[in-house]
Amino acid sequence: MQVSINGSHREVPIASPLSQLSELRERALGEVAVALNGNFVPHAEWARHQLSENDCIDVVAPVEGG
Amino acid sequence: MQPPADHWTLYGETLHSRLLLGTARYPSLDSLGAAVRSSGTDILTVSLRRQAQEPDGARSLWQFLRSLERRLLPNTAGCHSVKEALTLAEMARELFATDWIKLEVIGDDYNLQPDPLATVEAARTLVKRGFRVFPYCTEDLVLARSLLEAGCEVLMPWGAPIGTGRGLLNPYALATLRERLPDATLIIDAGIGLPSDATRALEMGYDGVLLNTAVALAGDPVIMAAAFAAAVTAGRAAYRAEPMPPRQTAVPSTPTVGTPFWHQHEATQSGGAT
Repeated sequence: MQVSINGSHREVPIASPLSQLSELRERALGEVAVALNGNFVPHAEWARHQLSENDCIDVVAPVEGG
Repeated sequence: MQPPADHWTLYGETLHSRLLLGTARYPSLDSLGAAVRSSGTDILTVSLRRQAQEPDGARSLWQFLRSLERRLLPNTAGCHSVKEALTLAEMARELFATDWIKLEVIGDDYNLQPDPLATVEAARTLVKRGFRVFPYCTEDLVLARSLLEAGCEVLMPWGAPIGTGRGLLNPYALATLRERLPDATLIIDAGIGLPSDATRALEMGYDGVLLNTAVALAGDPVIMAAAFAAAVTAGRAAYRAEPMPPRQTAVPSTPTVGTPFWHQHEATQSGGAT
């Protein structure tokens, strides 16, 4: 099935958990943060969230800011 | 003689410097680090963006920011709706391990003016969720009151649009805000261009200033950071010293009693007439 990760389309296995995305695999708490379809998903819940067709995932990291 | 200690607090945290510094747009990380040290700031603003293709870059930046050993204030820059701001704030809380959030909900892309209605709504929800909210707002008094009623202990009105360096464009409204909200913690957030702008803000009774571009884009960010540190200290000291009220007419500084040649000119004139 197809999902969108940071605006790019990607094929992933059906019902695969959020935690298995390459961007999130083995990521410790505080390295990146995730939103699924515009809703925040805490690090502790990554493994429990199964992806669905056309899900939009945002993976953000710290950057400089004003 | 050194003035007495002038610590202040933000959401219960005691601070020394009244200069808050942004971390973007510096020529290099080394330049950023040197400017931070030169400024003496206690608080740095940071943000979040989609992870770059090279995650090691983000990781090294994060390590660098932490190595500066300053309190981090994440922002919700780029958000245009309440929902976006709430989600990004939650992400920031997990990523930076802080409940402090500089709330930005932009209402106009031309001048990056905050959306007042969305900012109040987002602030109210974030406070209920346990955040300590620093809302970026205009100098509007009624908006400021609404944000205080929403539970914000700190307000961050703009001096001028972000990144313009035009200083305090509406000093009347900013002075009114300070006068009408004497107990609120007020920090000028955006538009500061020169150290004298920062001095003026502190002289007016503002509790601090937050700036980024004025230091980052200076020819020498390290020297400019030091200049802003001195400017903030001077402005605060002047405020505490209670400046004299301006007068319409001249008043001589030098004592007039015993002035030599007093009335001599008139006497000479009258003597000459007789």
